[in-house]
Amino acid sequence: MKISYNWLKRLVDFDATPEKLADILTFQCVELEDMKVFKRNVDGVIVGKVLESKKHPDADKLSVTKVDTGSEIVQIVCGAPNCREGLTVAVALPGVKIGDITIGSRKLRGVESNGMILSEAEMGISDDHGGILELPADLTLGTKLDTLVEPEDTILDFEVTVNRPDLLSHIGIAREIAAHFRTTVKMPDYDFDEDSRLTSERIQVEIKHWKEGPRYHARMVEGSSVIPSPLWMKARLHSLGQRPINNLVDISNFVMFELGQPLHAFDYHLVKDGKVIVRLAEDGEHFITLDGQERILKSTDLLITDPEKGIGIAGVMGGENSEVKDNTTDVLIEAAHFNPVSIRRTSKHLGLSTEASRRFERGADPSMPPIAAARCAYLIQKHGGGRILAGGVDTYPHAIRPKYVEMRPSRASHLLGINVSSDTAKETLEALTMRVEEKNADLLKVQVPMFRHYDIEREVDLIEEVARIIGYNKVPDAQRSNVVLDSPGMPLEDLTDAAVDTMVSLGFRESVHSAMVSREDQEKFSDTLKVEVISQPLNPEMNVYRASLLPNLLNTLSRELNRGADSVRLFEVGQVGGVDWFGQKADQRIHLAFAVAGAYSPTEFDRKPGLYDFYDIKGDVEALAAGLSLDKAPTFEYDVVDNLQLSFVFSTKEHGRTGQGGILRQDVGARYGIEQPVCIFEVDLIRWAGDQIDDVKRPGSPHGYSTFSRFPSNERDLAFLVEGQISAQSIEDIIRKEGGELLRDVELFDLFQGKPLAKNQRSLAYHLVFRADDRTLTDEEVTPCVKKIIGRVTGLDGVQLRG
Amino acid sequence: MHESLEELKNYREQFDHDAETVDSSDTLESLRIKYLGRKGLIAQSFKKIGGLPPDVRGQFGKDLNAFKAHANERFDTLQNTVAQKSDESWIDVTMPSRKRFTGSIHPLTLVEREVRKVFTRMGFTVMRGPEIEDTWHNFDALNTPDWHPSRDPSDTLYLDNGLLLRTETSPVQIRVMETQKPPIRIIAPGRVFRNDKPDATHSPMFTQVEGLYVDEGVTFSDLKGTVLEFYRQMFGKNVRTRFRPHFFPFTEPSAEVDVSCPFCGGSGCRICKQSGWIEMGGSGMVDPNVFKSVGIDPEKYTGWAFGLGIERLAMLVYGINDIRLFYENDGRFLEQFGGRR
Repeated sequence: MKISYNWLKRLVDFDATPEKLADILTFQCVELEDMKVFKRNVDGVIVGKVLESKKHPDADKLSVTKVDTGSEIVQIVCGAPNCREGLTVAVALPGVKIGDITIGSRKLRGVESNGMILSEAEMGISDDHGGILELPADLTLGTKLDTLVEPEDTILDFEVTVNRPDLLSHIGIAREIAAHFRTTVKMPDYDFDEDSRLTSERIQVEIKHWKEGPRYHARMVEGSSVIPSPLWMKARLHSLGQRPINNLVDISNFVMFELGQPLHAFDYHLVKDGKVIVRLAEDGEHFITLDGQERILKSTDLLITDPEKGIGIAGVMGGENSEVKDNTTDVLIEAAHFNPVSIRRTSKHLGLSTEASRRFERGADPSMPPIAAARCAYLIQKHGGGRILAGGVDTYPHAIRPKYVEMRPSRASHLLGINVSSDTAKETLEALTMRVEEKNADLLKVQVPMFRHYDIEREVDLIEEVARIIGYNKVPDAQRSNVVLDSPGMPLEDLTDAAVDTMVSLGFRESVHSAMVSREDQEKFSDTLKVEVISQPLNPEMNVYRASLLPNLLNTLSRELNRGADSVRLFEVGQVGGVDWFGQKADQRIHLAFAVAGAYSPTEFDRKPGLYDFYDIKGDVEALAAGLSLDKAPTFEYDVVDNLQLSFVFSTKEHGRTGQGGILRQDVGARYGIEQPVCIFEVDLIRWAGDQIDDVKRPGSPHGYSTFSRFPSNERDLAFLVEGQISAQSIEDIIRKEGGELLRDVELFDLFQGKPLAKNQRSLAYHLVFRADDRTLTDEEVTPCVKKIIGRVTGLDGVQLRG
Repeated sequence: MHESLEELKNYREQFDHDAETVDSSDTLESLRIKYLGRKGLIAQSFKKIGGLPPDVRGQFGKDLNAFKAHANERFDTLQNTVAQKSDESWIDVTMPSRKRFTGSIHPLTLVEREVRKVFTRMGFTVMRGPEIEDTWHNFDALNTPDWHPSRDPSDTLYLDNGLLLRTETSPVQIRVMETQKPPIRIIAPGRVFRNDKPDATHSPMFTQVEGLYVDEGVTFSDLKGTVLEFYRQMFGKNVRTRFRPHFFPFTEPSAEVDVSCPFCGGSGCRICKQSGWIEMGGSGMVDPNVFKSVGIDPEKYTGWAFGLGIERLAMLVYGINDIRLFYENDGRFLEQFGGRR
């Protein structure tokens, strides 16, 4: 909301610079967004009259004029199309500065010019530079322009919050200033002589739906003329960002900015029989607003009509059929009060937000219409002539009564943490023009001013008023800090922190991607993903909520490889929704995913870098499990997953499949523009960790320390020839089982395939470590154990000991 | 001192001096011949023992043996040093190292951890909630009127299933108050979503932290003290805060919080746009209607809540000038946060 500092000065007495004022208001009610000084180039400019205007002999577009400035007659060459004999104009004589330019005497195409005739734009009064300013003919020649228009103003732009519609006006801001300085506002002047005839003789108003339109106040000005607004008003509206149009339109806007009451001016003769009917529209009713747009109304829209037709959409915009025209003489001024909910609904469904609707939908002042209408009539008469008919027609069938709200000063003290006495509370509320009655020592009965009618409803609302007038920053910063002793632990934080730390220690970079992604991108990854669809997405790149973290990771990985990265190791921990690619659905799931491509160590100068492969990520996943202190290491099972070449899955009993990973199928990678092998992994972190996230580290828990043997071990190597799809895991399981408690470690240390072995044969060599806690093992103890292991393993069909 | 002992002492000093000058296998060999060779000074000295007076002989032998041991030891060391300096065994240690992948935590996580650390020290518990929310938790229970513009699809992203992407972390407040009785002292970090066009300072997804404290006798003054302490811990002891009136549906009174610029200390600089202050977030006393919606008696309990943006904090802390960098995950951005905890 743009506020003129000069205007405020007329509405309330105060002693503060614009900067100081902005500061006061920022800490009392409304934040300053911007401040701008408007300087108008009127210093030294005077009123003159064009006595003569002739074509320039050598230039079609220039005129050579003789201008009377009251004290002398000067020759000025002027380029404006509207330059003509008889005009009253603004003149800058040589030596006057207009902006950065000092006017001088010079020759224009050979003709002497001793000054400049100015346009509004050149003086900074408006943006109008279509021609020179045409001043009223009755001005005394030589009058200084700075008596007609303020040479300077400061415009303060405030960010008004939705709960304070009263601050969308100069009087509203003035009231806050008055509260600060403990003074009162000066209501603007509307003292005029009324005609003997009554407005009610010419205008009748009928409200059919008073809940939507509680009040309709009409005023009448006859015999006025439509002319440009006075210079000062044009300048002021311009500095508030408005384009001056004519006196009638400008005055109704001016009064709205002044008093916060939206007004509408109808051409009286376009309102059939001078009769106004306020009613709800019919469903599908068509109406053309004054911007020329056809609007289709609903039965919830309030319409201003005459006996034949709609003439305005209540509180939003007037109609094309009844707006004031250049030849309008008789004006019907509407100053009404409409229900906020009704206007909001209409404005929303029409997609039409106006200065008027903005004020009504937040709650205008129900008591303001008669004052605003009178002020408007007064200004029209003053700046356009005419007669103001006696009285207004004020139709207000169910008058809105002021609200009373009770407040306990003790409650204010309790909530704010400072002592608020009854006297303090009373004094601050009264500064805000509230009427306060002391019911007892700790109970105030407060009458809410009508301009705060829709905002203040409860005790806490009044406490806020008291607090902001006292000043938030006068409340001390308490040093109290109560720990809630029975607060629960934070297992989820522990889990995700451990996951992030482990991944980082494994050399992965954490990434954070948008959870809003393109559906296409998700589907490229796997058609088992079922995403949550966003109804009105920002753009097609963000039209669904992700069901997997991997598509984002693959896009980033692809981009990183393209810009020349040798290897990329990315992970993310984040929420997903919908149905993920292991077919799981739930409300809130926290996934961890990673994607890796390239070498497992970056550039090498003396040896070939190894490429990251399936067994690397298997190791990463095991390390992650260890990092999360999961009791059970993940078990891997080979499965064919649609988008993976080599895959493993793991599952829990309660939740089924909780994670999977492997090498991305090449054609799937190609959809993301990745040509080289990519290893990926994704897990539902909470379901994987399962009940262990609540596991408290207690004595005797599996997370405790266990002793280790200091006796030497007895180590053996065994190699088996294995046929077909017999897994290494199944052989290791047998070895561990048969090895018993003396067997402490089993490690597959060599894999051999190819000649002289048969095509479907592998040689798997295991390193076995035997150790006891209390003695050095002898061969006599270990050898039978090894024999037993050999016996059992070679008992498998297709397995034999390799010599 | 007998002159023979004097002589021996001189030999030893001379040896030490000569040893200092050894810098190649040639000079080392000369040293060996001069002192340790078959005709070297040490061998010659041994021959002299027989001709010495008996009372000097003992001391001379002792000193000579010590000298010999010293010379041998020094020779071995020098031999090693000279060998290492030879071309054959020289290693160019200035060749690049074998680089390790050092992983990195995302800056948003780093800052969020810092925030969590400060608040957990103050006795807050960290809570999380779903990013996909219902209108009850995101709006109704937070006293957001039906007409409030924040409910509009131009602000809030709704899903086809009738749910929405939460616009604040405030619904976590509701979820906690629905299931826990006061005293409640929590913070809730998490991602939130708005229908905002991305630019250097706006992102349709960003990260908030919400704080909530509900108990008997919790005051606006407590809110101010806690928020001030938080920023002091984040930016240093000299930081000041100021509170400005504002409007949020879920708090009354409501305030916006400014922090004195941690870069210039409040005197005005580029980062605070010469104002000396930086706007950090919203706060206020929990609105009685919010308490009513979760069945907490607003006469008995009072509470405060605040919210702030992690991105904004991270941009300040690291001097990042474009919010989009956080979600691009460019390696050249992420690698700068390696090694930080």
